Amino acid sequence: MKWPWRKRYNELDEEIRAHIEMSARERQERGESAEDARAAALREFGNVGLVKETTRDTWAYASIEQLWQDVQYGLRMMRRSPAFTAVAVLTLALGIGANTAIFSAVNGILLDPLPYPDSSRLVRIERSQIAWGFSAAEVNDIRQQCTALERLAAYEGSSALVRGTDLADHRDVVFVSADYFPLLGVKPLLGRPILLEDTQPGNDRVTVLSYRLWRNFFGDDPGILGRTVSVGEQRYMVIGVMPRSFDLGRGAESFAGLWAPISSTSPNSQVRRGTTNAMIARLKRGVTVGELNAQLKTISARLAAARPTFQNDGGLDIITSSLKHQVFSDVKSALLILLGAVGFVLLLACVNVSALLLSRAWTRQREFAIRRTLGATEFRLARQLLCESFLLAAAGGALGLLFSLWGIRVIHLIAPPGTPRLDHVILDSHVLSFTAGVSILSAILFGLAPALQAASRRVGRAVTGEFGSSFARGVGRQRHWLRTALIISEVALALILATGGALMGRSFYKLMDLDSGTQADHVLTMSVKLSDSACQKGHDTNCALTLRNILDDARALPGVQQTAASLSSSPFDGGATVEGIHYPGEPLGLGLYIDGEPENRISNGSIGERIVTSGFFSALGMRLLRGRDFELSDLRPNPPMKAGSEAYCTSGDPPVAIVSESFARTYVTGDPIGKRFSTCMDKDGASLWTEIIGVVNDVRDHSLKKYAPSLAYYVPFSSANSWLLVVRTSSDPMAIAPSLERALQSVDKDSSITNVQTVAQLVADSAAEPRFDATLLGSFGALGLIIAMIGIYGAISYATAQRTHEIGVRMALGARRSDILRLIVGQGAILAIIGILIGLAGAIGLTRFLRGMLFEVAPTDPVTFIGVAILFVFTALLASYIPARRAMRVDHMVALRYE
Amino acid sequence: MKDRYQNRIELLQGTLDLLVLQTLRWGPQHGYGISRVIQSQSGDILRADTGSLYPALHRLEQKKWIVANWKTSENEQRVRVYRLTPKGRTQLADERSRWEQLSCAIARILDAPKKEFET
Repeated sequence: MKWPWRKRYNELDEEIRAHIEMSARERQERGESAEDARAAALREFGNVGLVKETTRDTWAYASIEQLWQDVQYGLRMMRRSPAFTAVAVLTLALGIGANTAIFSAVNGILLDPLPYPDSSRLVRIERSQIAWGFSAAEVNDIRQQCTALERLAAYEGSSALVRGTDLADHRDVVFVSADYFPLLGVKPLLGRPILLEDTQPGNDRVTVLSYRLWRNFFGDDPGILGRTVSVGEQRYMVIGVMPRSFDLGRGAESFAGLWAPISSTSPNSQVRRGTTNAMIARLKRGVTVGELNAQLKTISARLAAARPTFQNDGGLDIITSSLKHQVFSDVKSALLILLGAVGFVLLLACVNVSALLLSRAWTRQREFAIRRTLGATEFRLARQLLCESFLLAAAGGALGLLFSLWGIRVIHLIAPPGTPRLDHVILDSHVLSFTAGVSILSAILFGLAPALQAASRRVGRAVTGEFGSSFARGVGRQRHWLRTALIISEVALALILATGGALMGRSFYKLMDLDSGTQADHVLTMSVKLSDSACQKGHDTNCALTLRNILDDARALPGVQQTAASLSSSPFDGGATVEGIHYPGEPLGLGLYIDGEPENRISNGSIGERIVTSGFFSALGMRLLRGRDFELSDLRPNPPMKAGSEAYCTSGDPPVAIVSESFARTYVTGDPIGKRFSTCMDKDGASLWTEIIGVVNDVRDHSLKKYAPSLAYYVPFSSANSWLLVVRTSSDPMAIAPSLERALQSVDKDSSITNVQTVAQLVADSAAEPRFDATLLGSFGALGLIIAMIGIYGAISYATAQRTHEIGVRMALGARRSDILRLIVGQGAILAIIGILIGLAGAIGLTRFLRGMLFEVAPTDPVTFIGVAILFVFTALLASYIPARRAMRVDHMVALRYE
Repeated sequence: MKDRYQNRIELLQGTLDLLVLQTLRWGPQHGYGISRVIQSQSGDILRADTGSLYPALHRLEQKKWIVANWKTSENEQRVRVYRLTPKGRTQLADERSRWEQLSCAIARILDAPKKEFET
């Protein structure tokens, strides 16, 4: 096949033919016979083929033509040894595929910038103690005094049940100041952003929807503007929809379901008081975060001086962080570690293929020798081999791309919920060029050494001289040394990978073994919202009755063991958190104070407040360690809210509470039963006391990874119009769901149910992140082990084949089969042990990067290290046993005649 | 057969280009014609080996010093005719002066009195 130059070929033929004919005609004219003239002309011209060839060499595309020959030759070679080709291509495909998949995650999540213009200038400003927040006056002070900032916006996040046409569910609602959208610099897709006039009481029931909410709840309805949406208890008019690119993942500023203006009539009590948790700001051009911090420190000191009671408290410290860092810091370290690990896999694959190529080069000695005698230059031979390497890499890259499609799907499946920008993890042009680059790089990496060595003149001469009987020992030894080094490094690399994977796996199983404090199986939860007719605000007796009826009716259903309710969106959600000290007499304190204990007893703790009904503990399988559960008499209806008092109390003034074990141990001296604590006070500043009536075991909340004995207290409630129903069943909880819904509807036919899920699923979700890391690192480790096994097997097989003669001699001299077995397996074992020792040293150096991802496992955990080392020894023995068996079976007479 | 070539001189590397360019100064010519001209004008001493001539022609064409066209000769024979380009003309002048310097220098060395070399 030579289509690009066929025309020139024909023209050259014709040119030469014309030359000869003209020459012959001239001779004929001088009187020679036609035959003689033609013969003489041909003779005079010389070697027609050679002339054509040397002429063609001058053509510009001669090198392309040769390359084409190389490619064709390479393809033929690949076809001729399908086993070798399959192993090499598969190894490379695994390496390249894994790298492509992980890079697509890094590319989608980390490399794409935030979807805000000039996002590097965006910072988030918070208090070190979130509960303190910023008052409206403070926000103003900072806005006016901080010259480092171009713009500043305050916001406060919360969550509420949002009802759409297609769906009703809890979504984040973020109350924002009018600066918020102009500061981020993104224009709405539809309508307008929140403006200054929207923050005036009376105008503030407007909202901007996120693209995701618009799509999921309202089915992309273009006529959404001007319609009202029910958010919690309120109704908001839609004024805008943000574009799709504005959606980040959870933890990012723009993940919110919808945005509403901050105003003094907001439903969120924090916002109503003019307090917000956080601000985002845009730095002036050229100003660093450090300069901003310095300014904020001065301002903060001034603010503290104006509020003497806040002194001595860490709560006033202002923390700033770049928005990008904030959003991605969690995933960043994990992804970079994964990228490093997957780089190791590729390196390992390259080393393996390189060793395979070196071994194969030995069997191709004769071919190289012949080509050299036929005039191939060293350059041409090296180029030929490199070309073959590129073909292998291209095939590996193409197959790897297929693997990566599968890998990306796995990433989507097992990625922790809330991973930012997960939908950006796709095969895009960046990823494709990365794959191409990686394939080329690996071709050079694994192909260069074999190409240079095969082309070296020493080998060529050795072969042409005396191929066969006693293959040039010097060259053989040199090559042997290189291959040994490759195998050893392969074992070492694989061991490092496997150790990382094993550490992650061990850490994950420790997490799974951990007592969650609850019995998660057979528990179903669902969010219930009662209708206005069943539970109207201000008719607490009605609400309480409805709630009690529902719990009783549900408990009577077959298969249901216990029912309870809780005022949170998930049983593990801390609900409100109470932080810091509550000083008696300090009106703005959001804290907790224990009667009879020194005031500084609680300084920096974060205590969860959970509002539950009786039966909650037994429904979740928690253990009441001391005291008693709540009783109906505890469930007195909330007293009518006194004006202004709700600002300080999240749950009215609960008369009794049950505290967690760690709460009792940490804060209360002696028997906790009967002790009193206070979280709020009445209008006059007098503490409202809550009595401790029981102690329950600790539960793990939020996420498995950040396990700490949870400090919590539980208070009872009797009436609310929306709550979480917790049901313990005796069989499959999901199967009970329909009859539960019917029972609910029979009490309140207009009630709505959302978020039906099992607690087991919730626990699994919270374990998703460590599972993700452990799964990926574990599979890289396993991949490394397999590749190393292939490498050892290939090397030992090759070495054994080379020693067939020697083995024959040994056996002829009386060596037993077991001796031969020991000889060959021992050879593999030595390689493996050297590699394992080097790998262990490397692993000790590298696994410390995993420290942040490990739970109760030291990065140098001896059990893991020893276990992996033993696994590798066995793998090496197995890999060398197969060729050793083959060698044992060798008939020594055949072996002696082998050469 | 070897005798026939005995009094011929191997062309110096690179000089063939010069001779080809020089030959084409008098007008377009095909490969066979060029080899004939070099042979006859050198008094049958120089001979352009086809294994050198054709690669040289194609190389010069590649460098755009000459261009080739297909023409039909009086014998109804399609021949490839080479013609000097303006670029080739400049190149010829350059090579020519370089050759003259070289041959002049060589001649000076060969003609120099023996004494001068010994001191």
